[in-house]
Amino acid sequence: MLHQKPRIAYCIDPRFPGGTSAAVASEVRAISGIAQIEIHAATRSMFGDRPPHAGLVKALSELGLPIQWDAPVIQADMVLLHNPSFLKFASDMAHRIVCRKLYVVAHENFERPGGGESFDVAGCLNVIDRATIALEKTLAPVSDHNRRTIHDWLGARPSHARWTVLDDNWFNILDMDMVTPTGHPADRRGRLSRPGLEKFPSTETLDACFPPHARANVLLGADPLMALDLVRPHWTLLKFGAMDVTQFFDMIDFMIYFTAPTLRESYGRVIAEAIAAGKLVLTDRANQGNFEGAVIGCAPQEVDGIVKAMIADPEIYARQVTRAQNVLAQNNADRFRALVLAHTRTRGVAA
Amino acid sequence: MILLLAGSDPGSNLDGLLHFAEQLDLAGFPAVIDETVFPTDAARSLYYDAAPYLANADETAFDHIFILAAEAVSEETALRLRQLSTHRAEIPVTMLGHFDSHQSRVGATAKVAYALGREPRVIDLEAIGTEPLRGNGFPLVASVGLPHRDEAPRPEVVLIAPGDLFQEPLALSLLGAMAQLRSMSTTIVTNAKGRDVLRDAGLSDIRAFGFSEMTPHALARLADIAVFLGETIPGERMSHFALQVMASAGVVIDGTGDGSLLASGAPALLGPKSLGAVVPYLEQSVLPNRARIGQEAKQSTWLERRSLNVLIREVGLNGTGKKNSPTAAPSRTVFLPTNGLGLGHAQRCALIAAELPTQDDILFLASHACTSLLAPKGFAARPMIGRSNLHELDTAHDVANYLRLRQELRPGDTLVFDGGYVFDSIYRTILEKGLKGIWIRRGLWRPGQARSANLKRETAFGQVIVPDEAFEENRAQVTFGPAIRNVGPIVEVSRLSNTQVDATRANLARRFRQDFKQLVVTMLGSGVAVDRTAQLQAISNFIGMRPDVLHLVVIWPGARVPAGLGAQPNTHLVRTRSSLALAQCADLTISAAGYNSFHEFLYNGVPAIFVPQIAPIMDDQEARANAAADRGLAVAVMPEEILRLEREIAGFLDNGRGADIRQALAKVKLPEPGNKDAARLISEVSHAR
Repeated sequence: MLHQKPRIAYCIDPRFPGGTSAAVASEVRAISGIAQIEIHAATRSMFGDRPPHAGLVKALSELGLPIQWDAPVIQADMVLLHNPSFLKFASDMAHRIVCRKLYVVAHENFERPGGGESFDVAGCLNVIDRATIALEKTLAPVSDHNRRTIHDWLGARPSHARWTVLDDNWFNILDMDMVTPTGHPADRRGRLSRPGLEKFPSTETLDACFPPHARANVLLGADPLMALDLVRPHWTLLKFGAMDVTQFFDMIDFMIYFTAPTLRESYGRVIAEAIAAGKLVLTDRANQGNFEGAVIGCAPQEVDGIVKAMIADPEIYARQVTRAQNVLAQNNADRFRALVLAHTRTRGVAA
Repeated sequence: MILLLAGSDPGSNLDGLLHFAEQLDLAGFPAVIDETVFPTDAARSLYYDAAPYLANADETAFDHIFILAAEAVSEETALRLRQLSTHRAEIPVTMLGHFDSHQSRVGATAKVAYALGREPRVIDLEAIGTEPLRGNGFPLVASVGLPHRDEAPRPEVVLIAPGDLFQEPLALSLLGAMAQLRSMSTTIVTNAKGRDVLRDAGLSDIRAFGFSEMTPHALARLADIAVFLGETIPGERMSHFALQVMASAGVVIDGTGDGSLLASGAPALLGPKSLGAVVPYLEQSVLPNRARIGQEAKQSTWLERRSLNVLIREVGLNGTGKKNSPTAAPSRTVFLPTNGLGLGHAQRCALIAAELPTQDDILFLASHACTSLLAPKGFAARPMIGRSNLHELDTAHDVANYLRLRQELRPGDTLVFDGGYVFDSIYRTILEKGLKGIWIRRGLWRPGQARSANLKRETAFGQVIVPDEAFEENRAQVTFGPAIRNVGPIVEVSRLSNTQVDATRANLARRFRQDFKQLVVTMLGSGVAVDRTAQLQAISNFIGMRPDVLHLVVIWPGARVPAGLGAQPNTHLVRTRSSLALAQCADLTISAAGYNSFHEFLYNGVPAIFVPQIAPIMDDQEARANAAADRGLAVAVMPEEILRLEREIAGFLDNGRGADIRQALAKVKLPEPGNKDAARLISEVSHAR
């Protein structure tokens, strides 16, 4: 019996500016050898006229995969719809989807801390549901925390019980080069994020994390703080994109990452980038779950003590960063391919 | 204190914020708007609208934040929320919006939650039945502060229409005819173009406001019937106005092209779309049923849903509001003499006030210079702010005065304004507070002045008291009607005896260490409105050559005194509260021809040379001075006649001219002073219900 490669169609909005498009690019590279891939997108977009993500375009171009715009029907063994929030302003989809398995990769948390929805989840899922004929419709979380928010959301909405939740995490592939941690960590602290208020904790937390006695406090993507005129003489505030990320990581030894308490990262790509760059990451305990053993979860008031302890014992610092890098290394392309193959084979998708 | 923010673009949405702040305030929940949202290029009227509600939010102790039109939350608003919520973690934040989708609500809520670091309370206006008329999420809520509407025999029809409509054939004729109707009185609310058309057509008899000239609340106080014409309801402010009229049992007629009021379910009448059909419609269909239509509108469920109380309950503010109690305190008669320093106006008001039956309920609001004059007369007085070149805006002092008037005055008070120019602060306060307004208005206008826009503001006053001039040729009527009441000249009659005169002159000789034979007193005015340097220097130089003459120059508080005036040894600058007494002791008084001085000298037999002050804002002092001079009761010298002034002074000092004039003054028959009559008129208004 001749085994064909499974047909996998991506249904995406390639104009997502950040992690979603980067994740899709890595994913497509990883599975291009084991599947027949199609990429579908709609010209109608919540992102307006923004061009597709450069990294994604590059990956697709290298793989010879064109984006098929506005195809009336997407037909495949498996359809991967990445980040349903791109439909949050839509009343219908541009395509009809016909497949055996539809996986909707969440990317965004369905709920924020406190129970508020992150976007109109039901609206997006209903639009997808109406447009899709599939044997299975599955929600694929990207992390443990992301999974919890999906379960919480579904638990409160029995009418959406037709959606199943994937047992495995549809993890981000981290194909980054790992930088060896420094043997002489100094009190050089920093943070990096997109310039949205949701990424910034309270002033008190920032003051606790980036104190005057630190040798350096570099805040990249600090546009909101600059707009608020929230400056400190001991802070170096840099606008988002003001410098290359590598250059930024060269300036720090500790990545201190806290967000507004009303936001939790679904994954936390900047944390992964910092670990790969050989930096020790201190973050909110609630973010710890996505990086088990790779980050130090703490309260803002504990940051200072931990930094001091690490500087005092560079070996522990290096050991922690190396352990973190080993954790990250598990999210590699081989493991992802295995994940995809498992889900295409076990349920007899590509017979 | 509640802080109000707009979800986005607060500058453009200021009307919605202000309206809501006003409604909350009237309901006893003080509310403020973050002053950082005030546009730098705001129209003049917006300063007055906003002043009572603007506050530096960073320094204000508020206990609740409302975000209005919260369906769209801008980056700027989110940043401001982050700033304001720092160190205020316990203060509740409520979003009020018109969310057209679940995503709209979720997205806006998340944005605010990210800014605050905690969850806000969210109220969908549509869900509680107070959906806005105009798409955005500013709550359209009815006032709780409008008084009961009386059945006025001649109802006030407020016609809201764009200027384009007035350019249609016959439109101006129709408006002109409306102004003459006995069955109704007409006020027009229109845009700038409309006001230009009315002005160019000479339709000055019709009261007209710009769309943004009055608050919706104040405008609704005027309107028994509101008629909307044109394509649509012109803006947020006029929507609020319509609601206020309905809430006070007035009649609202929607004659707009899109019928948006009716489409919303509002209890308005479907009216004619053409101006020509308005009057027949009103007379045939509306006026006979006016009370019933108004009551049905007021009791409609549509309006009930838009009661501010519904929103207050939903937000959970019940029980914390402290209702204003305007009727708790006894009503007062508040005198407001102003324009310049207002010394003359204050003096005139004090003479009238002294004749009122009771003095306990009298308050003066006057310039600081005046308060020092009034206090010794036993009147309570609080200071108002004068114009200053140091102010960034030329209206700054008046905006501040507006705030003081709002604070001082209560519905039921009688405001007696004595001045030439009706400032916005005065005009607005009377209309907004529903005060009994009385204008003690000049009777003698310079040519052309009487057509000024200022006189149109006369309609805000229930009564206009015009103190007569002494001489008939200066008593031209400029406006007519039952509200205009003429009284005799308001004048202080207080003659000194010969003994008093001798004693005063002896005192002056001692005080200035000069044995003089003749006394000259000069009081040419403060020099603020008109520069009197040349005349003062000429007089003091001329008298300086006469060592047996004592020359006293009366300096008013705040006066501009020319440098070098005191160089002549026999000239002295004096301040006095008894200028009339001083003049009675003088052999010659050289004076401006202001109303008070002029009449005081005539009625107290003081021989004088009048040098009129001539300025566009002043009354016709030249006519006044000439009227006395023509009768041989004074000498009139124009400001530019410096050499003649010296000759006339010599005539008094050397040739007995003063004695001739004293004789003539003793014989002349002057009208009875009107002090008592003016007081009686004020008292009648004050005590009227």
